Amino acid sequence: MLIYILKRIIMIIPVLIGLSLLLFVISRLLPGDPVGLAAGPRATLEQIEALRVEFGLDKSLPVQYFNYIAGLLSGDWGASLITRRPVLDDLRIYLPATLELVVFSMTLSVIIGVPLGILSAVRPGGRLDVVVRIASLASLSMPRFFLGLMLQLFFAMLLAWFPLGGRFPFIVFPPPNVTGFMTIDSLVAGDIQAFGLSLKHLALPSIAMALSPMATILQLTRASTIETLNQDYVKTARAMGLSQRLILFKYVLKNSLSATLTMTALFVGWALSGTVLVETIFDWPGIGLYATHSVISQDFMPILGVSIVIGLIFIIINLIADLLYGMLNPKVQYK
Amino acid sequence: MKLNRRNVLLGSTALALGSMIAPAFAQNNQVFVLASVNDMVHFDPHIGSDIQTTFLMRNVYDALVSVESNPPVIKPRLATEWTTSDDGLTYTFKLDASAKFHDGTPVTSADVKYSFERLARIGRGNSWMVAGIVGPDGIDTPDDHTVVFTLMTPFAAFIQLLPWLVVVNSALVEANIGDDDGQTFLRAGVAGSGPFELARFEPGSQFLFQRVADDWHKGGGNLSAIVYKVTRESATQRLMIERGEAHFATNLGLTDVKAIDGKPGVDLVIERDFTTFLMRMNPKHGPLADVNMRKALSYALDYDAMKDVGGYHGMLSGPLPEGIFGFNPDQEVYRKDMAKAREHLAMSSNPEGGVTIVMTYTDTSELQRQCALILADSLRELNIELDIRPTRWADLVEMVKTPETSPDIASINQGASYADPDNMSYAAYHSSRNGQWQNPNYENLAVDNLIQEGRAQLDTDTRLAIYSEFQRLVVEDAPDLFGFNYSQMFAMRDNVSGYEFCPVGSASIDCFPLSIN
Amino acid sequence: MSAKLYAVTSAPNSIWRQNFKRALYRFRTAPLAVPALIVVMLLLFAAAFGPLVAPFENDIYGAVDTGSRFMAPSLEHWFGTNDLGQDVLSLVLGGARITLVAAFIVVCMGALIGTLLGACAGYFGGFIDSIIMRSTDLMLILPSLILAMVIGAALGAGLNNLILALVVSWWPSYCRLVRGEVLSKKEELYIVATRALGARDSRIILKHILPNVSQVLIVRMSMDIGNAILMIAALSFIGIGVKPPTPEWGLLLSLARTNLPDVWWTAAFPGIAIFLAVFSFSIVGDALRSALDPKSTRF
Repeated sequence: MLIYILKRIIMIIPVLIGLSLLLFVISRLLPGDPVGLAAGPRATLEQIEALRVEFGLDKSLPVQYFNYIAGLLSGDWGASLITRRPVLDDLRIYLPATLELVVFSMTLSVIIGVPLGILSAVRPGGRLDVVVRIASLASLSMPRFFLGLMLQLFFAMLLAWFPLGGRFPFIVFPPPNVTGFMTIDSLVAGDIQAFGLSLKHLALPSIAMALSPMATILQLTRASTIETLNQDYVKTARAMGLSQRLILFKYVLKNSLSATLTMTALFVGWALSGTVLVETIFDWPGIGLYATHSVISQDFMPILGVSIVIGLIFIIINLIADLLYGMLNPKVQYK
Repeated sequence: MKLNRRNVLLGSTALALGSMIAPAFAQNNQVFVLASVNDMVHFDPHIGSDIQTTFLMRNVYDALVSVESNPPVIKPRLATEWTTSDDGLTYTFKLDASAKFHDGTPVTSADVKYSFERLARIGRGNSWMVAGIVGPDGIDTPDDHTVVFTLMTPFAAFIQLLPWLVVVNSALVEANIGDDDGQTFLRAGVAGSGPFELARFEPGSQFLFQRVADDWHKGGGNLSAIVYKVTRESATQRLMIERGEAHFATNLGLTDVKAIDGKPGVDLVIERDFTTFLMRMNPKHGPLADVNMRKALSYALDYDAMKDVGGYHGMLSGPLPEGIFGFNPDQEVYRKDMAKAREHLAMSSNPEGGVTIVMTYTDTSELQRQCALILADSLRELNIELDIRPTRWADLVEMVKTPETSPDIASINQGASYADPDNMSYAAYHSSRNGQWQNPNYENLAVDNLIQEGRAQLDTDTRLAIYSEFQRLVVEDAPDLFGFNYSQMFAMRDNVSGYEFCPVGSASIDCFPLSIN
Repeated sequence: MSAKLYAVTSAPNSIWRQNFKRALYRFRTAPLAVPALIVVMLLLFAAAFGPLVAPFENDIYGAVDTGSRFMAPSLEHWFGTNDLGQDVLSLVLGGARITLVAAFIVVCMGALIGTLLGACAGYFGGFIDSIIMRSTDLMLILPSLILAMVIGAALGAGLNNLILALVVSWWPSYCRLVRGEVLSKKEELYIVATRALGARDSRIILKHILPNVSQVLIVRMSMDIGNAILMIAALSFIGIGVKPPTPEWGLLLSLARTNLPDVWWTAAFPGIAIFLAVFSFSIVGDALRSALDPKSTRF
């Protein structure tokens, strides 16, 4: 088991190298002149050249890549051309915001998706089942940005129940930073008001984010529940007169959950990049917004940094999901 | 420079109330919330010239003089008085002896000299303003409170430049000089003497500026702090104003201005300023190198449709904005006339049309996109196709470096850096600026000479005649489709008093005189 | 099962007809499949003839009428007018062609590249397999939206560039799918027999393996069209997409954003169009799957 984990961790390195190489090549092929932009409209050619040297962009591509990798390993992820702030510092600010949004929306989608999935599996083809299935297909078809805009239009602009965007009102003091999650930090500080405020800010973007993973989790739970319900041991249990509720909770839930868990983990990776659109709409100060701004200003170090972080989280989550899957499902063996 | 929670609480009673909901907080205390689309990425007044840096120049730093009111008037700031020699080459300034930086050190003539030298050394921001005018040995400091500038050449607009060349605390910058002249230091802190100082900030979203305790400036309003909130959407800015979550919004779109008009508690500020929108044609390469083609386009454009989408914006009648010194209100300019458009097209090298013209617009500008589509629709009548390309600013800056890579038409907004026609004429029409976004390709020797004469001439009447002739010549050349003479559209809560519009640097508002009642 | 299907091509027509009838029945009984199919037909009709039936055809090509800006939905303008006085209904109709054609190209190109690479990886195995599958894994780890954003930003605005950016991030999932199918097919008896008869690799892949994978592919592609529509709209929405005056739905929606909440119609109708298109394509795809493969549980 330990060896398996170690092996998997070591496998991350070549993947990261591949990932960074791919992105590096793409980002360096961008036309336009980000350095010229960063230097300002009235910069002379000498100043632009100086900036190029400062950022090491005068060197050949392989050298630049080597420097980048060396920096990556030693904790220097480069700096933004525009703001000149180190990418790692920026990520430290933006990543917790995105993670909070992702964790919150994934929790939301599991809490709603799993029970609905089980409910609709109890009587496949029943009225509830058909309604739930169509609703879930509809949720999958809803463009996240359209949903976000409409939520913002109704609940923030017209009804004013929720703030338009952002993470926390600025003029209120945020709770001291412990975890980077506003909600947890305000609970740690015992500040109920701050907790309420951060929940209010989280609500709309999380709903916009949660809808389509919720639908998929629902579908998966439904499928695996139907499968489990048809297993012989469940049939036996039922024949022995065990109540439906007991069967569902004791036998079915556990089996269905293991499949759902794996999928949920996969979704975290997906959700990390899916935040791009939602963060743009709700002005959520996370890595998605950071990436969008960087793409638009051709600021490639932040783009590289964001992609690598997302890739890394994706790999780690997958590893954890695999391990958890094994714990829930003793048939799995690690090789 | 970042203060911890405790320090801020001690420093400002306004902020001691902690977790109250935002609107009430903003109303019951003199914390002024400003919504702006422009993110601040540094606090260094010598490396930027954009709206946000200009905001810092006005509120956090001080210059020798300041510019206020409409039409703009130069007022004393660090300098209490000044004299000019008859040949226009020597300027002598007396500094206010009570002026001091945020850390308490007095502002001396050495700081002024240091700041001009630092600006020139870094060579960014507004350094271009004094390049070729104030030389390396151009500043003398006979005593702590006297600064003498000796110009390399007479420059009529010199005093107009000074509000934008601000003074930094030389001791503080020197102490944190690093290897980049203190630029790193000024990315997280300030070194000024202005009425506000930086308290804390979240990069990319919000900045808190506090009123300096026992500030040396006399007068001013009752603000205890400014929250500068980066708000990217016009609709958001508008709702913040409507709900009292912000006191001032600087980037409202036309729809939002109309929607907010007449709402209780909201005042609108709609004023013409010196910013212009030009669709700059490429007179050196491509189909528009032909002056008749340029005139055909100039006559074909549906200016009335532009007026419809422009709302409160006025239409330019030549290269200079309305209200600036030297503007000629009688200048004839192109208006839609299809007969004349066809006439000029017939005289061009493509008498039947049948060409495709590439036009770029800045991809973030709604209005520029609308104008491009209007032009495309107008040109269809001439059998000319417009290939509209949304372009990132970075790409445009790169494209305009040579005539061959420049688009046939580039949509460009020109801001006014100082209140003098020299600004617009030199930056946008002098051939020495070719290859820069402000003037990619226009070159006319006669115009160059007029511009040079205009900046060196000290006599007001002669200058008026020069700029009148300049406008006539440029319109005759038709290098641009003259678009908007922009209006600023601000919204303000009606409990804010003391605000006065100033058409130069107008989006960077001066918070010092403001009060919240 | 599909292998047998091909083995009996000489059998009487009636079996085919019976199979088809069964599939049709299963399709019809899938929930909402018929209305969804009608919507898909309407969309295809709009894509083909949209400009002809549009009330203001010229608006699709960029005609402006600034005198009638921001008019609310009325009998003359069913969906209202936008910031340039263009008829939103006409723009949405005109946009159907752009969005659908682009989505079809993205899915087909993605499937083509993915299938070829996946087939090679699965068939040849060994070194080729490793190379192809490692790069596929890499592409799958990289968030496709961010990848498409970076490529799209690099290439600049334009429909072709948008399609290219999406194709690049689209093929890996097909590659993995086809490889899995090929791996399971290549050990089947008829393939082994063909190989023993001395058929060339390319012939075995193209003539024998791929046709047997096609059913899985078609179902997957029909369900993927919706995703492609979403991605195209998403990229246009964040400003990496087509050039004006092209009335792409995502672009229409993103342009309408500045005018919310007062002018809701310029945002609502393109948004609903995107939703309806994606929704009906995924329902049809889902119904198609249950029609073609009776064993599968629905979804």
